[in-house]
Amino acid sequence: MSFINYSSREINCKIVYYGPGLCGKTTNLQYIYRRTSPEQKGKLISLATETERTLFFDFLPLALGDIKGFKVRFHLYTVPGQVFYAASRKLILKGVDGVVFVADSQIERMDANIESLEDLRINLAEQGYELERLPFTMQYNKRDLPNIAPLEEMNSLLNPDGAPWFEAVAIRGTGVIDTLKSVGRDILRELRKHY
Amino acid sequence: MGASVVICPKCKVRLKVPEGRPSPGGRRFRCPRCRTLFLVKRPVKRAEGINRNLVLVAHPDGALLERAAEVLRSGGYGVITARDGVEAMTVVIRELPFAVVMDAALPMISGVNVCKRLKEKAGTREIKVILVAGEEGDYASACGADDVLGDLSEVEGLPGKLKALLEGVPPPQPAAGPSVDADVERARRFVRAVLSDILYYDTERVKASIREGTFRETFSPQLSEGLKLYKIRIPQDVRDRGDFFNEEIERFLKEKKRELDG
Repeated sequence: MSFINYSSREINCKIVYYGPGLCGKTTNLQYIYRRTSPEQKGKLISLATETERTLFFDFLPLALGDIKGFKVRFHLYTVPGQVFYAASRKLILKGVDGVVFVADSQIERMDANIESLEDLRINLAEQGYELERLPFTMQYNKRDLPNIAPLEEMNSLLNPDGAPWFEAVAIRGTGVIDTLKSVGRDILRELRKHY
Repeated sequence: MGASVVICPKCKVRLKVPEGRPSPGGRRFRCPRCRTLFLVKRPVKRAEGINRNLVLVAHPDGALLERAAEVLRSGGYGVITARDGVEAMTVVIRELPFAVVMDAALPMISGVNVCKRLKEKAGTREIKVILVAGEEGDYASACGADDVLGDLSEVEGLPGKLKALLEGVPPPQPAAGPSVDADVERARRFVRAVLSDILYYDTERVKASIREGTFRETFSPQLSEGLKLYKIRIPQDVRDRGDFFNEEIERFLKEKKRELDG
């Protein structure tokens, strides 16, 4: 849920990058962070858990657009993707304004994708949200790898409602900004309805 | 009085709404938080499968409609009626009769177009359509109708036609089957996702432990955590149907061992 800072005249929105472990959520954020000019962004914070490279969350404010004289600041978060970190994911989702689901295109990670998407739906429902009513963009990452599932199959398994989707190779930045723009645009549209 | 839970379309808060008298258009309700006024509708109850004893007769002429309904009722069929194409379409989707007898030139949406739409939709494709089409038999069969009747006054021949058509309607499937499988598959998939995570984050150690036959001991903390979540996520009645947690671990170990040996 967006909150307004009247002193800085900003509307703050939260975008959560969700998806299974090692699907590329952090890579997405790191690329966006590198591409954003220093005056536009805050500090990139990463809280690593004891089991190596899982990032707990990242924080990246990115000023975009303007609604009735208020600037819109996006806060970008990733969740730890491994099944075990269910409680952390629930916490990070609180007050979310938009979700990007980063799916791993490799065939052997399809169960993990489906499980993670279901986990997302359950965690949203517990807070009274429905995925279908939230700004939501799907990203099919790692499209450069050889053992990937066809797009039609991924769409029918993970995106039957036809949310906006993008192919990506996050490590090279392909599709990363398009994904962010898509969810950002949907969030702005929602904000304009309310403000 | 019971209550149903709805979500406010504006502020998304979940609200308990007391169940009042049902009304076709729904009841107006104001969200106590954001004051948005919205309609609360009861979900439309739909039939779960094709009703092998129910026939819809749709015709703009009320007298002909009644007569046809009487003949069919005396032939042992349940009969529902409609006077125009919109009503016919709505009733068919809700009640799923096994056959529809309708005039080709119904008002609002013609019988020909209703037939086309029914034959296009996966859930209604099996419903048999007899089109009352006068001399336009060819046109009627082009829209996918299963049989044609010259005039509804020839209603005496209908029970025979319906009996023949009923033989082509697939028998009902046992309803419990697919949902049981889906629950079990959901349980198995959860375990596969846990194992996939363990493998993905620690590939070399997983391989080594499988070679040495020590996978369960090496990854005991992760497996117990996985089991704990499994018990939270998968309902007891599904878990009672089999030891899917251990079955999937064994299957995973066999598969990986074969890959390593291969």
